[in-house]
Amino acid sequence: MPTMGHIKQLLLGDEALALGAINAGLSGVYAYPGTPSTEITEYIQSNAVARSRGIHSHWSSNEKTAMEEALGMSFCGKRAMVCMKHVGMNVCADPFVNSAMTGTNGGLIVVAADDPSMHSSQNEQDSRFYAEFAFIPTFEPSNQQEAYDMAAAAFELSERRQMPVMMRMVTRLCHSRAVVAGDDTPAPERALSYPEHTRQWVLMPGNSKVRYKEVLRIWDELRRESEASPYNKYIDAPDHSMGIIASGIAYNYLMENFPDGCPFPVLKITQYPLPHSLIQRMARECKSILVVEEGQPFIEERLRGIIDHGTPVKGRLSGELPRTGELSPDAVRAAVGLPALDCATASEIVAPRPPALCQGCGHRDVYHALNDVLAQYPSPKVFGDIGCYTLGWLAPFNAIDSVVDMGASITMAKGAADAGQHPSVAVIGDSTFTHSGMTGLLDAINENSPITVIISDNLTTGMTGGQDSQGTGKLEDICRGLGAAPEHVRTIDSLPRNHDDMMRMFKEEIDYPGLSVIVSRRECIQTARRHAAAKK
Amino acid sequence: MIARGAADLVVSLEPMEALRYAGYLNPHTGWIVTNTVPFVNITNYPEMSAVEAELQQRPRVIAFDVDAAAKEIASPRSSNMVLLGACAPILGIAPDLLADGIRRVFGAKGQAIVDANIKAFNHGLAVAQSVIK
Repeated sequence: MPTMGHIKQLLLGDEALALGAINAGLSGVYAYPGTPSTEITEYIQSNAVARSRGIHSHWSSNEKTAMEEALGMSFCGKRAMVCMKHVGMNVCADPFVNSAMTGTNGGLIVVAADDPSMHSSQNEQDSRFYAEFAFIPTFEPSNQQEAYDMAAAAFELSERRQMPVMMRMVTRLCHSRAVVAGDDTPAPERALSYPEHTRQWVLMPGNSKVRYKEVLRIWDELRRESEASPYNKYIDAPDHSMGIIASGIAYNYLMENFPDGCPFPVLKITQYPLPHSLIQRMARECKSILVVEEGQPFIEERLRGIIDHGTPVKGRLSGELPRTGELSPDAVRAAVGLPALDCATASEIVAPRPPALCQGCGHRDVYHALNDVLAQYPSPKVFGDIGCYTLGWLAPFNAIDSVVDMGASITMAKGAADAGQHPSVAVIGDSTFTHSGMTGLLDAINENSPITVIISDNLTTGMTGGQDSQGTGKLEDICRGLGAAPEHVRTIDSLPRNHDDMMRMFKEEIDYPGLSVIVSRRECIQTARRHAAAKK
Repeated sequence: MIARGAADLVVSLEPMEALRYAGYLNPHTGWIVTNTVPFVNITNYPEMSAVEAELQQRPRVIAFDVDAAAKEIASPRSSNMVLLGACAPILGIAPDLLADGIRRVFGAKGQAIVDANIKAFNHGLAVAQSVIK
């Protein structure tokens, strides 16, 4: 038997989790790229063990397909992981919530990477609400080493309880590096096997009514398990004027301010459901409780309730910590009553550098041509979507009127046309189109809605760093296959020298009183440079 | 995440960016190590003279034309190694160990690449040592 050794590596939180999963016998990762989760899947795609084992790591079309594919692998007894950014949870909410109803066979980890402060997101929703809502246990690593260790622990919990497990990450954990000690001998993959209890996998009402009671019973057991878990630790200390509950990465920020140990009792929470008995102990033994958590006041609200009584609770809701945005060691310092550190003066001459579309980006040509055409109409509306081309809202383009969620450009343009809007234009990228634009396009095709859909195709998922796009080479076929009239599915290269031709094509299709799709195509300048360098 | 006043070093390949988080430095011990060549892709980039003046007026700054040094010593692509060398005396990691790391990282690309990067690193190190002493 090979001896298990340890190797130390400098890893991103995302990479630590990915390596932990591989070493725990992962058979497949399923994901759609999304900041800050993307590097998990990319690490597995390039990892030597994963490649030699043929661990599945191809990108999925969206988070819902990814979740279902992972559930299918779990059904067959193998360990699977699905990764997404927090808003991806909205896309996969249906299979996610129902995966607690089916339960699992092989271990199943659902990674939700939250982005508090919205560094690269449209909101700062906290995925712990989803997990509780679905009765799915959760790990919330406080550092990179825990991200590694918890991968194996989550698979073990998932298989023992036959439940999916959420791994809640946050931007600063995903995207910062630390030394991680890991096994150098990856565990074998699981053999193919089928679920022992077959009824719960068919969610007809008769089966679901039985299973729901079982889910609630398991949830109670999971809570007792949380109360005894080494990942939830009650660290007593002499000063009981205040107790501090710190979850996930917030525990790190807290302890950083007390290099010699915290003078107040600390309850570190990194496993959910919430460990009630440990929280009750803190309420008994401490005069007040400060809750330090990254994201929304999930724990704080549960402690506080609607009728505030009992131990005073402090946190984001009472103003000791900021109500919005991510935490920082500075914010935590102030909340525990420590004075701010002496710091160097900030510069007053630094100018912001807002993000901008690259020079040589085809999206630029699309917006130039579109703006020039739409200037001829009294009240044009352009519905945008999620991707680099969202930057078309900014100067100098100021070209779009809405950006909501993946795919909403097409469906909002259709709804606007239903309301009588003309011109009603949708601008969507190729990857966003195959993620969530195709189904909406079918609605518009079926009613021959008078909208113009511009698919600005850069042959990649550009905003997240150039991952493969699932529709590359097939966009026109997809549109025609869905039933778009072939003469109104048109293609042009997004190039400055095509400006007049682009304008002409856009105008013709805007004036056509029905559904049209224009695929405006030019390879992303970033991936084009990489491809050129690779050829050298 | 670093607390305001807890940073030991701000390192930057661009001078205005070196100042962006300068307020995070420890006011008594913190260093700035930066390139002096601006990257101007915005219309309201401050006057270069103001950027230079502020860098000069701050204590503990190592600022030099990293691009020119890299080009002269090795190749324009080795500016990051020049900058690493310039940070070396401040990092608390022995420069020899950093050089070993460079050899390991670039080893697969051949001796010529290793040598060029070591040369760039040593140049940055020499610049820093001349400022620090």
